[in-house]
Amino acid sequence: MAAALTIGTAIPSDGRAQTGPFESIDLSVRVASDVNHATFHDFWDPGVGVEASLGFPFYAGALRIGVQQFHNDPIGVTTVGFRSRYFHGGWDGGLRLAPRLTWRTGVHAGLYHVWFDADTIPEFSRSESEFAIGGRSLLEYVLGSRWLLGASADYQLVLTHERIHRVMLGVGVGYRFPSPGWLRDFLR
Amino acid sequence: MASRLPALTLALGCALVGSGAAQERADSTVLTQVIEGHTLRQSGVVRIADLLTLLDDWDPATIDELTWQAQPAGAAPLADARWMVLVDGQRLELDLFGTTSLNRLPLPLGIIERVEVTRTPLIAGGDLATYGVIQFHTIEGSRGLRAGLWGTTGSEINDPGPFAVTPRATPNVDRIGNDLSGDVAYGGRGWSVAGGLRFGRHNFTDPAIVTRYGSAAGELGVKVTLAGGWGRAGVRTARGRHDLLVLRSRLDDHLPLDPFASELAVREQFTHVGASGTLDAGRRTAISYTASWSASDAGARGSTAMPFAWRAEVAALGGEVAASAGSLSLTSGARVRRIAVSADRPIEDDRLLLGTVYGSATIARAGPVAPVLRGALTLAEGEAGVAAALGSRWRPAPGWLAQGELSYTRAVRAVDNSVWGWAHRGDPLLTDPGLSITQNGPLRRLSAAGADLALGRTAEALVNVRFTVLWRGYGGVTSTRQELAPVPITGTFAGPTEVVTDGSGQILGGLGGAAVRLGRRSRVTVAYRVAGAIEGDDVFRAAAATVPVHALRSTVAVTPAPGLDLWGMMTWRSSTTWEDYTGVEAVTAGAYRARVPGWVNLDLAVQKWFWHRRLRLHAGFRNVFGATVRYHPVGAELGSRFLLQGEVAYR
Repeated sequence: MAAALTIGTAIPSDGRAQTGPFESIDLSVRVASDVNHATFHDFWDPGVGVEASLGFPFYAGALRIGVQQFHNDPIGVTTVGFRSRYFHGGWDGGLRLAPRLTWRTGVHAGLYHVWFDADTIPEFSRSESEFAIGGRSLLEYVLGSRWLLGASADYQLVLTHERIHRVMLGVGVGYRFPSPGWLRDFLR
Repeated sequence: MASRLPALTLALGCALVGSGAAQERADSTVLTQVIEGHTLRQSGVVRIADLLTLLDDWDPATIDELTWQAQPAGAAPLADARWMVLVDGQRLELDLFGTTSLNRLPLPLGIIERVEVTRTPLIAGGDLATYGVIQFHTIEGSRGLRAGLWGTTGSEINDPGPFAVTPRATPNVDRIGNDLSGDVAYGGRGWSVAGGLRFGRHNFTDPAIVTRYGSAAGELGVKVTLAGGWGRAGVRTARGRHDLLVLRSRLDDHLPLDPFASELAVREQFTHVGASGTLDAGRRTAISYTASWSASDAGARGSTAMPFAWRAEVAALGGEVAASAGSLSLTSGARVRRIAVSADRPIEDDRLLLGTVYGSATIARAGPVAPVLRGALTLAEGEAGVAAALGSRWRPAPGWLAQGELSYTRAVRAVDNSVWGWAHRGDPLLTDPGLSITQNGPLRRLSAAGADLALGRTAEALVNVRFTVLWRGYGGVTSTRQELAPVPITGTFAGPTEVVTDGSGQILGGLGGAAVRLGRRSRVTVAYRVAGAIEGDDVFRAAAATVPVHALRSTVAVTPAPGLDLWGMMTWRSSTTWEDYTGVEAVTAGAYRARVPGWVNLDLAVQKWFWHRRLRLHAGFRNVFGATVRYHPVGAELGSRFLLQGEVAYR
């Protein structure tokens, strides 16, 4: 099982009250490592991946959209490597443990898209996609007034016929800034 | 009961006000379900036919999840669909060989304001409709510009994913979409124009149908497409309104043909051009008219398909006068319909002329009881068909509405659009040397009698309930009995067919439901339906066994925050038995089973509006638990699938 460090909390963790919906944006980047060992990992080594996400405070908790990318190297000569991108959205809620420390837990769902490396695969079948769901739990620390540090554990279930179970640990950094008025207007 | 008399039907049903996804309007009757546009969005319908899954009092069924059929509770089992479809008051001739596929209706989803669904007698479309009516109402033209786009993509889960390149590879799964529809409207003072397009596709992969569909379409494979356009122009004056409606659709579909025990891969094209209007002819008198022309084409596609071409043109002209005096309201009208068919084979009676006169009288007294008498007389091919209904509404207590309907119909044979009906008129299709068909007598005229008694609470209340009891009796029913065996090469089935005419039977049922409002932002509905044959010959009873006796539907709609909608729908459908496939089950070692087990299905969806409700993003997950959802012994299994939907609207 892996723990991932995640950044990008939409709920202020510095003791301030919850801001209004879409009042701020958390722009976050994290690196994560898949530490699970399941059927998927008999065929591929996912290595370390990256994720970028945007988080917004919602009426309760926070909404987040993001994309996570891994390159999955083949194990053995009979398998083909591929690049995966997980386009997802989700919601999480936070529990303040200390003035600047928040424990957040939530769910996410999205599309797990696959691009195979091999040129020998016909163009029309070089990519695949499947629905995926998951959950994430993370600790988030507010550094100063705008910077965020986080560490998280993340579970993903890709609903392919042969299920893909991924458990990731990650760390990341984020930056919080007020939403521009036009964006708040749009999102509401 | 073996009575050959026109069936006496008693219907017993219970249903709930506002049950299911639809929200009953306060002014609607307890026998009508209204599905609003927002319900279509919350539930994430992909194509128009999907709305049939939102109906409480109808039983929807599908072979492939693309083409849905439905029959209202109490309908004659396995009979051809005779329910009526109207768009903005204009009747559409969608039926093709007894199959009415709503996907032949090319309305963009975004322009549907509401759909009213009635299964009890109703004056509509220039007739007294006794087999059900589905009325689409599009968004009224307004001043200024309005435009919208609605798109959906989705797929079954259980794709092979990256395992496709490993020894653990599995077959691909159904791809739903991409489906896209859009519309543009512009209105000025007293006039408006609107138009729209629709496109969609579906890729079948289920092993239960893919061989059969593949062999039917040959090199074209099993991927099908839907395309179509819609246009409307309207003028409003101080004395009335006039509308022109144009529809054109093209659908690569699989048309079920019972005698062949398989589907025919066809390209269906539907065209409708119609004008309708209403004129005020005085303080209490209105005159309305309709004139329309439509054409339904179906032609075989694919190199291995059997030769098949069919075209039915229908021209119709109708007028109606509605007047009221004191407590009496009268409506009377007439409609003439001319049907001309042509095919790749000579058809003996290829021209039909039907004339209908109809009327209704309603007494709206100051008291709590309002009786209404409706009737219609149709002349065609030397026959006279009658339909009559006596109904009444009364309010036993404030906020409560009771409604009763007694009806009787004896239709002319000219309205029988089934393959059997056309065989009776000299279509040689069924003389195919590969078919073994015996018929026990001449085709009879279908007759039906019905009774419905409903009680419901119509006032806005915390809990609204509705109960209905329904009874139907049928005579002159044409049914088939087949002893099918699989044809492995084509994935189809074949066997001798026995056509049993003049069948009879009775159905008794009940509908019940409740709608509970939990605060301002939550609504829960439950609707339960039970109906089954209580009398009838063996063939009628066997046909009735193909319709589930029990069905339950429950929805939860929650708006936890402005612009955010959560939706859930649970459906339970009891088992059905298809006697014709008993032999198939034995030969295929159970791969196809005559008994389709019951199932419980759960759909979940979430959607968020943005930009002051100009943009909507929707994510849906159907059959969350991965239940074995199947409607037909040789139909596809509708597995778990996800949908992503988006809508942009400028108003």
